[in-house]
Amino acid sequence: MKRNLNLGFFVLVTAFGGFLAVSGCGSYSSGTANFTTFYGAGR
Amino acid sequence: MKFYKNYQILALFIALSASSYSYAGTNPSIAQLKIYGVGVANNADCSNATIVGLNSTGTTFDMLMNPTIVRGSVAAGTYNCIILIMDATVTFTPATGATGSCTAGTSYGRVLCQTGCSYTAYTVDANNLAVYGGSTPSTAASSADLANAPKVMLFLSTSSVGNGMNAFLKPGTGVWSNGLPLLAPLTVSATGSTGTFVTNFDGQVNGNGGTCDLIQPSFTFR
Repeated sequence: MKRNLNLGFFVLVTAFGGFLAVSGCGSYSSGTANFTTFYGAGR
Repeated sequence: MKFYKNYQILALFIALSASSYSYAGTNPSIAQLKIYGVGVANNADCSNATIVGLNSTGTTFDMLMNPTIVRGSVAAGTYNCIILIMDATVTFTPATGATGSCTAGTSYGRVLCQTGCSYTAYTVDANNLAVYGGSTPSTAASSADLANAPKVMLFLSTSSVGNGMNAFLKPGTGVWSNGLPLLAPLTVSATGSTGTFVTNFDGQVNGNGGTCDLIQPSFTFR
């Protein structure tokens, strides 16, 4: 069965503003933090 | 499918083993990897890698379900090395059409790094930086020795020329055959960035022997 590859999408920093505190990434200010999302995909 | 066709055209599949190209078996309906985090490094030799989303107990993902593995914050920049921290095992369920020793709907576990395979030992320090140890032989005696399967880093580097034989060894000067090629660096900007680990299981389920095996999948990143 063939499956679509997940090519990902851009995640805006503003969309995850609360994630900074939750993840403990306090070393980055909200102005300089850059979110990276990793996906998995198989086929 | 558009994405699939593009993927073929761009030849993004890098075999973890040469055999994975040639074997024509059946497909799994479930293919799970246990993942502990993702590393990123500016340097192609993966030095000074920052680990994102480190989870000491790991999370099992069915790669066929296009899961989100990690979300985290890293500094803006260009990353020439991407690391997947994972168990060197895969749990799979043959899809309908399985033959021989394989039964559709039954779950099987197999080791990806067994006798003859070595991996780079590592720890993660208090600043979430990877600290590398030496090359360590796997103590898993066979593809079914799940209890002794190591936890490994899968290295992808823009300087690697690896063919999959040493995918779990850190690449670097003199050993660029370690790891797997990362076809383009991951660029992280102020608006964020994404990356996708692609694991190809197509036709890798093999029931021709006495046990149901999964020929080693290929890994790529884009």
